Amino acid sequence: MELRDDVVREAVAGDPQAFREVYGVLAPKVLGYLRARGVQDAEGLTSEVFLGVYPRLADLTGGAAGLRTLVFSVAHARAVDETRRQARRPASFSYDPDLDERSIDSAESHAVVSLEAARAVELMSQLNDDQRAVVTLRVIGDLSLEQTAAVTGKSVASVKQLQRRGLVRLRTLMASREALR
Amino acid sequence: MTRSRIEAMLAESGLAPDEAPDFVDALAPLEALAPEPPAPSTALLALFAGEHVPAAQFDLPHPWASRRVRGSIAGAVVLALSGVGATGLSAAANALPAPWQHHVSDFSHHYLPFDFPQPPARPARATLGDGSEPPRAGRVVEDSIVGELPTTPEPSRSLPGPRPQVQAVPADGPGSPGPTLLPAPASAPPRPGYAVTSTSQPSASPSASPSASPSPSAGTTRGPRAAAGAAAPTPSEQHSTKHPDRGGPPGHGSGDGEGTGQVTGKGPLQVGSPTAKPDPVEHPQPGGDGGSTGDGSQGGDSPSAPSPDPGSHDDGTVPDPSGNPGGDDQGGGRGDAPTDPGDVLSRVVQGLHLSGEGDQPDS
Repeated sequence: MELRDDVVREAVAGDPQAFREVYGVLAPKVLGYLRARGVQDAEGLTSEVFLGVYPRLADLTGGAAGLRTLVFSVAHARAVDETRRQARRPASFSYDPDLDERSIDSAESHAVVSLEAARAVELMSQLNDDQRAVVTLRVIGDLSLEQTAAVTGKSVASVKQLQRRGLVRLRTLMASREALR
Repeated sequence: MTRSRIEAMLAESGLAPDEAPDFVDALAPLEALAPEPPAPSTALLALFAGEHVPAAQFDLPHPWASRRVRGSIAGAVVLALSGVGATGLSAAANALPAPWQHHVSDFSHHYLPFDFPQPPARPARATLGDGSEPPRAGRVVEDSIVGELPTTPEPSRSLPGPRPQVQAVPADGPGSPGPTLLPAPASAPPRPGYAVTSTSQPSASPSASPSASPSPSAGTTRGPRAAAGAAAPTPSEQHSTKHPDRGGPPGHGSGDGEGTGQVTGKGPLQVGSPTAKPDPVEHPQPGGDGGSTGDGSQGGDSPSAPSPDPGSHDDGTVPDPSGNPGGDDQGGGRGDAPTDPGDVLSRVVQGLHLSGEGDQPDS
């Protein structure tokens, strides 16, 4: 489902229903992006992303493309913050039998509907953060080079170079796995 | 759509899609990571319902969250701290320009628990006629002492004009030891400031003179203060000044001849010698009572030295024509050589009182 400009205009004007429609279109991509980045609570962070987007709608320019860029900019910033937070303070929870889900599949496993998707996420985890962000934004977020550059705060040439290196790295990994088989 | 995007990415990166056909198939499942939108949070549901959501729920970014803004602020803070630190160090070293140093010192004096030094004062420009000789320490002290005495402005001290005792030398005849008895004032350069010093010490010792180099014009162009020091106001001078209608010099010459004769007969003059008697008619002022003896020999010279300017050899009783009590400045130097600074000060104070009253108290 594509995001229409008229819906975006209504959302900018403050129509709650239009904003709900925007959420319905962009939230799956944001969730996929956050999962691909390895965020633990991707669902909760997706809601926070849209809560952060809502006050900024008044200053939005660029229509649907601009809104997509804005949403993924916020999502990217939150993903980076989450990654840094995890690096500084690894998650540690006290044991709670009610939360012990080892007998069943994890939430992420539920999200990965296919083995190919799980394999793809595993491949993406072999890239560094910048390469993974660029490839994920382009594949999942369906952003152009310029939009990706705007989201990540880098130049188009830098994004292009990161994309090329990421793809070369993925191809090398795939070739090595084929060789192991 | 994801396949077309991946193929476009490969084309942008210069990688041929046909080289890795499995590559597209491997990345295409990424789109299936989130087929459905997640359940919105409570705050988001309220927002969808059109309800009011507290601003705290939106988690607005901090205004300083931008890297550029933070960098600018950090740079400005570093520059400000560097400037303040450099200014403080320079002020502590007293190396700032004088106006800045003055402001910083004032600021520190008022608002800081420590004080920065004041800028160094500009060296006072010598107002002396002869600026070639720097003032010596001893003279500075003497000048300061004498300088506190009078309330007379400077111009009254520096009134040019011939001094009676200098030009009175020929009157005593060639054998008069008068000029030789006053080596210090005679050799003194025309420096009024130093003349005051010599006034306070009109001794015969040449070492006390401001300069050992004899000035060719010392006898004629000596300043009034120098002249006053050389020729401490004698009673005859006081008499002449106090009675200007008498015509002064000739009459005094006869009267002072007595003193000259006494000194000549005794050989070298002892400045301040008690042998020279003061004029019995006029009791000298307390500040200049001893001067009458010292100038007894000089008093004989005075007849040939008419004083065109009464103020030039005033003794504190005749006000200066310019309105200045001219006697103040010479009252301090009048008299014999008081070696005790306390005595000098006491005499000066008395002289000041007298000059303020305008006439001699003890008649």
